Amino acid sequence: MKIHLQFIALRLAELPTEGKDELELEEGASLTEALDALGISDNKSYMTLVNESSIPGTERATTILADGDTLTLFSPIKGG
Amino acid sequence: MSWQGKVLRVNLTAGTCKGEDINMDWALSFLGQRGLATKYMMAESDPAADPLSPANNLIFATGPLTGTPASTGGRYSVITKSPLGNQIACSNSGGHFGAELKNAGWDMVIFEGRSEKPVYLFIDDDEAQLLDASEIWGKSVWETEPAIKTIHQDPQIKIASIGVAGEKMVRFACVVNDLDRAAGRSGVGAVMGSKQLKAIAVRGNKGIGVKDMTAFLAAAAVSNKRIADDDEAKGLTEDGTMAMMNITNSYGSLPTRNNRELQFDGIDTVNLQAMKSLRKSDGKANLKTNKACFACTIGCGRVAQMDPDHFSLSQRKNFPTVSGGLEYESGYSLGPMVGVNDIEAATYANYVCNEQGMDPISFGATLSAAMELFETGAITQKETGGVNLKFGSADALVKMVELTGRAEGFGEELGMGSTRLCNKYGHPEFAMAVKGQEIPGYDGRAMQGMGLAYATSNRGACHLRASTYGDDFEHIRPEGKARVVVDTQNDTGTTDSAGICQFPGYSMEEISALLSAACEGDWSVENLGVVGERIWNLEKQFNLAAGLTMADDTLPERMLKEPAPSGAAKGKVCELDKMLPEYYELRGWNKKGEPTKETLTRLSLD
Ligand code: SF4
Repeated sequence: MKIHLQFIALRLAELPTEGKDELELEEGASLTEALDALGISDNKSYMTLVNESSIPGTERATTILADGDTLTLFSPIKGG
Repeated sequence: MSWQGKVLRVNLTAGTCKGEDINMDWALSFLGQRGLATKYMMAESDPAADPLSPANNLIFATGPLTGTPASTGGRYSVITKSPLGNQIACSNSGGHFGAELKNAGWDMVIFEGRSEKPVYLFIDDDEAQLLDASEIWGKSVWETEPAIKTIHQDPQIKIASIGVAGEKMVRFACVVNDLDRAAGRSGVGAVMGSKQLKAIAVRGNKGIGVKDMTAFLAAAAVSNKRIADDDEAKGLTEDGTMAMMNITNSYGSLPTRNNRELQFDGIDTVNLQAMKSLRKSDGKANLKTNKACFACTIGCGRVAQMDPDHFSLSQRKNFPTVSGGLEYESGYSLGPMVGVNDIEAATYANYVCNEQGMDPISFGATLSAAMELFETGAITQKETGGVNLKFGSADALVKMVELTGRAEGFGEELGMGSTRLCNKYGHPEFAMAVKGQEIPGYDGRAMQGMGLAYATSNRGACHLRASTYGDDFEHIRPEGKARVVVDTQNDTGTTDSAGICQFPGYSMEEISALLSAACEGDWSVENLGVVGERIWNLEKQFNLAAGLTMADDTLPERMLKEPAPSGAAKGKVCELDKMLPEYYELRGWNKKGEPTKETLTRLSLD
């Protein structure tokens, strides 16, 4: 299945994901598996949205993705 | 050491300037800047006084780390009672003014009374005098700074001043220093204007001592290295705070068209990418470069260059095209909040806010409330002086920012702030404000913790009185928010009182190491926690003495009753009713939101 990717305010040059906007995954893959496939270690505190729902770090392993989902990743940031 | 040990007391009624020793018992309990000045306010200025009367004191205060080489150690705050909602006002600024004031030998300047004629305070180290300002009264901030430098023939003077907005007591007028840094919030510029005080101009050459220089430099090297390696800080250097715009838009927490919407259809015209992309007209980008405040190793400040052919500049001959650019907050309030998808118009409005000394958050949110009044027919072109005040009108934004900066025409009404404006026209529910202060760029439905932080912030709606971002972007639920809000509110009390900026994300361990090397006193992590909590409770005591009650710990009705129309919180409201009782309990306050006797005794505030 195909997952759409959106990266916001991540310092892309430092990620192994540069240039990617889609990801091929096995059917039934979890959010944790998607992050692993992207080479983004789970211990980096990226925020994750699947479509428009926010998925806390503790629920990534049990969040199953579906074909066509949009995964949005953004880095923690303070306002100003 | 590290405090200069001196307070300059200026009685504007009598025209006197007198130096006195700082109250060291208070400094050891309330640290400096925000905390210490609030203690002086509580002790010396009647909390029940009319904020725009001579009885309300106005304090410019530095912290013990202001003027030191600790990264971002250049901050000062302006503390007074707010003309927006009668609460404690405390507004923090960077630039170079704070460090200069400290270098002149003063921790604080306390203004009392009201001058009979316009004056400015000139400080040259120990010498302080009130000088006639009749020649510069009526001038903008951008005219005042060069005029004072010319009078004294000294380009190195650092100046904090008000523009025409402050003189005319626009309720969200601010104090601007170094042309485009500002003690922006809570209407501190209106209080300054009410005193007929145009500016403070400082020359400081005394230097600042620390208790143990070797230990201090070692502590500063550790935190500076951590900041240099920090991803968030690197992001701030590269992109400023504007990187937030796409995040809140994707998440659905970006206040749009007076919070009726939470995602902006014109996002691509006002975000970071729009600032960086090259214009067709002149081949240049809106974002020119970044810049830093005193001793800052981050440099989050933006410098913009406007399109010289933009319509807003057509009547402004010799108006600078290069100046302080949009940050996230001004970007939200002068863009999505008013529905305007023209980054040059938003940049122009931001310039005028600096030129005349106005808070762009409160201005934008007040204009958006007026636009909703206009669209619903509560006001018409009769009130607006013929301006079509519809959402999305860059023309209306440009006209209204100019009129408000001079408090002319409908701008005088906007200068009341959204709460008074919406009350006047029968729609209090259109005011996106808490305790009279307009909300920053986060909606409390998708960001429930921020909602609680707004409702409980002692100075009114504020994004810098708690740090709920991480938790809010993961969890949209009321559970657990109260703890995050209480803990981070206390941390801001400490950070804002130390003389440093919140953006490096200083840990209490780092602040403890810096303060312990710089100053006498117990600055252990444990005691810093108590100091932060003590400052929060002192501010609360001021508000209670000023007549505020738990009815003021609330949010705009829209966030509490209208479900979020889209985004991660679609269908949800802010569940303040679930969070607030837990918050009061964690604070050791009674059910009416007042600190209990035990809490006050524990914090030595009784
Ligand atoms: S991080 Fe930004 S606001 Fe803070 S001191 Fe540095 S330049 Fe100024």
